[in-house]
Amino acid sequence: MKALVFHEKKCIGCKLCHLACSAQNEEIFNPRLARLVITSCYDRDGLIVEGQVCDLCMSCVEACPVDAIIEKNGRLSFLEDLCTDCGLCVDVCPNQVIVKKDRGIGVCVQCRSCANWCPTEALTFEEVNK
Amino acid sequence: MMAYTGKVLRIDLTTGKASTEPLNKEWAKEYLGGKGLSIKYLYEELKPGVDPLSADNKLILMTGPMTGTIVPNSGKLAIAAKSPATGTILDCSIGGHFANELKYAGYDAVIIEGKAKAPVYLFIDDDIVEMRSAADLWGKGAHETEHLIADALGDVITLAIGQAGENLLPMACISSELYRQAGRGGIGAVMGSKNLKAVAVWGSGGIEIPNIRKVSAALNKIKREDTMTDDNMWAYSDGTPMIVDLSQSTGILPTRNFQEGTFDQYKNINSDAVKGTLKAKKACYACPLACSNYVKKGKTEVEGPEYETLALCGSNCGIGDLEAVIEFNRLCDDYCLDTISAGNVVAFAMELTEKGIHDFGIRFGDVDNFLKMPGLISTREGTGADLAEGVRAIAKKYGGNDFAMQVKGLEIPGYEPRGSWSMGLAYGTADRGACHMRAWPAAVEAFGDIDPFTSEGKAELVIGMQDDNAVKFSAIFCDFWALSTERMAEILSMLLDREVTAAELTKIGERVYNLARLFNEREGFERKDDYLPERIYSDKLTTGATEGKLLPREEYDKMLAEYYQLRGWDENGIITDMKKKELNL
Amino acid sequence: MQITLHLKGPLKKYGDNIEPLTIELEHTQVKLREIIEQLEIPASSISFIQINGEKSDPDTVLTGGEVVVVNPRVAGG
Repeated sequence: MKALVFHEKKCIGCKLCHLACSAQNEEIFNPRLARLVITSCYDRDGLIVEGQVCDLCMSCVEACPVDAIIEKNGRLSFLEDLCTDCGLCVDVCPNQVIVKKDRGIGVCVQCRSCANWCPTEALTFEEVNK
Repeated sequence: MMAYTGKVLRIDLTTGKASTEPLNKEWAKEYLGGKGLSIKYLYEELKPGVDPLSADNKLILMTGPMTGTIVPNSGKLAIAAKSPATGTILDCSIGGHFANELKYAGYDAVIIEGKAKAPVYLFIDDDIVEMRSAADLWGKGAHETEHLIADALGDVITLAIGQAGENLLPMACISSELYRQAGRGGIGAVMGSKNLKAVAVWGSGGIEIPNIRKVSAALNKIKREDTMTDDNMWAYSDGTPMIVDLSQSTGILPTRNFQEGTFDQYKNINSDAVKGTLKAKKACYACPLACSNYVKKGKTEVEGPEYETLALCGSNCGIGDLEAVIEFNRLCDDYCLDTISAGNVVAFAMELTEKGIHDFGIRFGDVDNFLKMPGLISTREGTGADLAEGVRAIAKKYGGNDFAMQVKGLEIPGYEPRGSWSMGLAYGTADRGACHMRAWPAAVEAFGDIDPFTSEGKAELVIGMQDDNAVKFSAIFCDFWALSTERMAEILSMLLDREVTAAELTKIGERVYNLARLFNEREGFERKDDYLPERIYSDKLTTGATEGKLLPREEYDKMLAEYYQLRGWDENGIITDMKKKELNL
Repeated sequence: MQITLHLKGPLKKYGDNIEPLTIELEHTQVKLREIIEQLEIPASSISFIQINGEKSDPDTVLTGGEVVVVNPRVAGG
């Protein structure tokens, strides 16, 4: 199966991925609505670069009590009409990349906007062992 | 207003009150944002002759219409006030992630007025604006200040000052994310004078524009085909340290307080040397070029050192020890000293000492004392008490005025004007004193095909670059993307509710540059203030490609006269009524 | 006869990312410009050229043994 992979050594912390994701999926430039979390900042020990992306672990699919998140051909989709806003998927996501919205949630649909924008190939879409 | 939030946050530190008001739309159209719009607000709101360190000065944080969007290289913030170093208008440009966060909090700009009774810092959390006590932060460096604020507030972006700002140094800067600076003209002292230690911001909002997916796709194409190209990728491959070799080979690397234009130890501080210490490349918000180098050497680390630091604190101080330059850089960023001015001050002290004019106890190449300087200067201790006031004030007290390397009170950046005559004119006519960011003609002259040692055509060259940069810094694009005015117009048209043309932008650039001049004119500046230090006119350089070179005063005069004429200013450098009318000033 | 060629910054890719390159001169009248054209480096991507540390013209005829540096365009400062 192919999925997003984050390569921290290549990341420059520009956040273009966050912007690309929110523009594509939420029609707004708002990094906090992105379905990935890339951090590049300084703490007392120096530069910290970390990233979480959806690796298609299926925890959300398994946790959803009403089958509002489904997987088909290696892609997740969200069926808003079925969602009861219980928040279970957000809680179980090990990468914390599911966005809680006023109504419903946003999951990574592997649209690759983030990887298409990444200037340094720190985000790639490649074969992962599942 | 599409990509603008349309909202300005005004904070009066004297009363502790915050209010919001609509962004002046007419001004936004004529000045865009960033540099231009902040200068417009200051021109309209500051009384002439105001003391820059008084409660009557104002500090403006200004974003632009592209801030917070996916436009490449749109992550910069303008910070403006009347300058404590020069008495001129002062706008600085700082990278990092503050500008976008401010926009997401809902504001195009913040205007900070008055003076707090005791040290405070501001926390802008969307609609909630808090003035918090900075009693525990006062006296601390900017780095620890940022860490402590992060401990208290979590995921925020902070602008902070160190001891240099608290102690009102005319070379005090503002730091953000430790290593990003609004560097020049004492902008940090304006914060200090207001008892304002820091501004932290967190925003939850976003920016919506029509056809956002289509616009994003078009911008991604532009990013690939016009941003990440041979013209700009030097930023990623090397960053500004690349310029060390260029300056060395063309004889314009300031060395030993501008006594020479080449440095025998340049290989110790050039890009190859910096690359040997590289740990990671780092970018500002929405920037694919990542010019920053996060480096570690020995026990020290910094995001830098940039070319200006390598030149002014390296070769110009006779320091060929990269680890020392990195540590000096880190100290300056923490105390919040502008490295261009600090390097100049230390080099000037070294020359005054070596010439026996006054003993500051430091000589060229003296690493041990060099590393004590940022602390002494920032806290005004020992020799730092005199040095804290900057090169012009030191010369006034002890002499050496002919080689006090400053214009209008601002110390000269890292390009020797005797080997790049257009840079001389650029320094003389820059709105905030000797600055290389208003125009950087060295790129096409010393580093290009144009003869550096002639006055011919230089006025036109400098004016074109000043106007281009004025609009670029107003939009705001980072200056490291060498994009055309046509490209700027194309991008702005995607984000604004009107078609923007290149001709309109060129006019805006000219208007912004003239408004800055008008501000200075109102403060009493004129032709006599547009001159360089005597050394440039009369001391011949002695090494490398610039051996035997001067910038003769009569040639400088010729460039300046032509410059005024092309600008539509009179012989004394005063803007004519006709020009004012043409630009709606 | 050969020269040492340093392609700086983003220009390095035109020399298979090797720095420095060693270039054999095919004959005695080779101009630097010809080598640059052979490597398909766009003239518009070059700021200036140094030969043995000095800013030089691309039409300089090479004699062998030179150290040549080709610099990219830079901005800002």
